[in-house]
Amino acid sequence: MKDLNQTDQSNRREHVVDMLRAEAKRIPAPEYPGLVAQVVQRARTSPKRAVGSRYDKNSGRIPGLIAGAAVAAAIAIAVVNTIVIPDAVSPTGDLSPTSNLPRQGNLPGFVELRVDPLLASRERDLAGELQYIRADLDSIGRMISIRLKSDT
Amino acid sequence: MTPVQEMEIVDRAQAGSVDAFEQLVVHYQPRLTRYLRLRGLSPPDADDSVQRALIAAWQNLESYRPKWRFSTWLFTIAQRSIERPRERADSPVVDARAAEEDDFQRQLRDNVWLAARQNLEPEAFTALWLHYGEGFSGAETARIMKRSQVWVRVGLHRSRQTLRRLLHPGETA
Repeated sequence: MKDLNQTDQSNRREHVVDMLRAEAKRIPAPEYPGLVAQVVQRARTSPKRAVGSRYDKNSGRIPGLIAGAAVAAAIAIAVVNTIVIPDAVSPTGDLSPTSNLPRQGNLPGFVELRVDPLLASRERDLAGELQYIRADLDSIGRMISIRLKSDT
Repeated sequence: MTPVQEMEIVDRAQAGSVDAFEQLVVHYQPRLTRYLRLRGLSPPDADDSVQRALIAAWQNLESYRPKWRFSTWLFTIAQRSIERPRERADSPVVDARAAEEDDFQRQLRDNVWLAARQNLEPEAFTALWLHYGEGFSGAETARIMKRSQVWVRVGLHRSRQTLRRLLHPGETA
């Protein structure tokens, strides 16, 4: 009996769906050539967004995303450091992430060629951030290798 | 127009061809007009919204990405054009009465979609039309309406139930 009821309900659902689809086809989609001509005329006279604008639109967003990812990576590294450092750092402190590794280097040449000063500034910040991350990764790598040696 | 043909035309239009864009306008103007009229817009308001949507499409064609069908992108723009306060203030019922003599409304009489419009919330009706009337998938409908797919699925289910009760008054569940 339950199956029969379910079949009945299913049939009614199908009936509604079929009816909606069939009746939709009966609704006219009015063609207005005058409206088309107006739109095309306006398209011919109105300026289309410049091809280069896509880059302009995203130029601020992409470095922002990369910077966000860099910050997230830095936080992750800081957490790892908090866990690993007490066991791994030598008394001399040479392997600390704040050791004498280079923190700032020369900026890549292409940065200087940018026209947009804001973008150049962001890229400079990002380059500095990457230097920090690279130094931190070097430290971690060395700490891991020391730990592996001490374990063996 | 097959999907492949459409993509070629869209590519040409993106490259700046107004002739290619005209082909898209000729293809989509009737569907957009029907959609907006069904939403209850008067003929002048529907024309105005279609025109604004198509011009906006032309001006922003660079931002279209083929991740979604072109029709999905275009209907999203059209949907935005009727979400503006002026259009939203229009009552579908008032519009239907005002346009009683209009040919479009006459042809809509005795159609289940008229019952749907009169008995469903505007957003529920929109989802129902986009899915069953225009043939958009649930994901595409959600995209156009800026809603979640779950919202669309639940909305379609409830709308079908409402219509089922209208069509089968004796039904209990």
